[in-house]
Amino acid sequence: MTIITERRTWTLALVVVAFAAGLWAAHRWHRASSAVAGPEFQLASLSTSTPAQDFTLYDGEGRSRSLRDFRGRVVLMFFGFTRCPDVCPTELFKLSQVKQSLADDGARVQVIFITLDPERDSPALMQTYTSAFDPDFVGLTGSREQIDKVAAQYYVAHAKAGPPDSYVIDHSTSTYVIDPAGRLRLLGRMDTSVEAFVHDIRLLLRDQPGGAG
Amino acid sequence: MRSLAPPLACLWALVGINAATASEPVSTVRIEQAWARATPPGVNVGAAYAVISNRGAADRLVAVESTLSEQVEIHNSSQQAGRMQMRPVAEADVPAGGRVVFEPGGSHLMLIDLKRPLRQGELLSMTFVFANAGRLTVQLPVAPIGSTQAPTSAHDHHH
Repeated sequence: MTIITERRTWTLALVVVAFAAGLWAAHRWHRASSAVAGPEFQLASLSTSTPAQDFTLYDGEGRSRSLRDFRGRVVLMFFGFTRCPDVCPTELFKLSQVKQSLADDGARVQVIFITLDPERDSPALMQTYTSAFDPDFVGLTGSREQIDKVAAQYYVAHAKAGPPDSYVIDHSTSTYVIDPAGRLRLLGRMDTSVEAFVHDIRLLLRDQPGGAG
Repeated sequence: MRSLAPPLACLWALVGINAATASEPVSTVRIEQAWARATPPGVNVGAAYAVISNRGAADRLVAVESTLSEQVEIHNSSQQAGRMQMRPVAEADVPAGGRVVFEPGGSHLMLIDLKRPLRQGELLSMTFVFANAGRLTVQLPVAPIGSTQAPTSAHDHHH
């Protein structure tokens, strides 16, 4: 009886020691692997090195604007529509706070709002709309074909819903973060905080000190 | 006679409690933290938010009206297949002892065909119509465009 109990105790002790050793090894491995992961971004990071897909659309004054025109700045790009009562104002207001929080570095950040509703969102309306959040924001629109193409380039899911005269548009709500070299680097979400955006944008700007601006 | 006094007192108490309950207002629904968001010029839709709390029996929010818009729709928002989807619903259940929360990024009240843009700092009058509680009119302070919370000066405006 006592021998069996003793054996059990030893087995248990062995198991506990083995488990602890395993935990320690896993912890060491995790620390080692994250140490080589480079800058610690808080947003979802895309390890891309190729330029973000370029496009040409029209700004509030009807001038054609391409993504590459904004090289040297961090571009924050969001897709939506002006008759969007809740999500779009929430996100655009957040991006205006991000820019303000960056103080002087805010001048090296460009927010671009691309409409998914070109039938109703004229260049003039886009201009009025984006200016309400920040006069430096750029609102882009184009033909239905051009908009659909850009949305497809960035895997933006969108669909009209509701009656023809008062439809809304269901759409994905990611904010695309493009670095000063024109590479798509990060994806922000509705629940990403202003602080997380500011933190990550500072990292991207640090990589490219004194870019065009 | 003396032996009847305690049960009689009990009876009186019971009647008294019943009477008190019956004379209480039926409405146990309150509208708290109600606010609306300023709208950019040129856009004739807006959003309003509120918390409806119910200390009594189950009720239903069946309509919302506003003096500054043709229509107010109750919208549910949800993520479906990677898209944020908002859909009008005819009414919203206000469960017994529960709350209904309208907030940015979630369910909200959509103001349709605004007669003019909503301006930061003004008050917007809205009437919430409940199946049992009836009509409750509330003055909503208007917060800056895109703001995600009620203006800081906002108190609970309710009747």
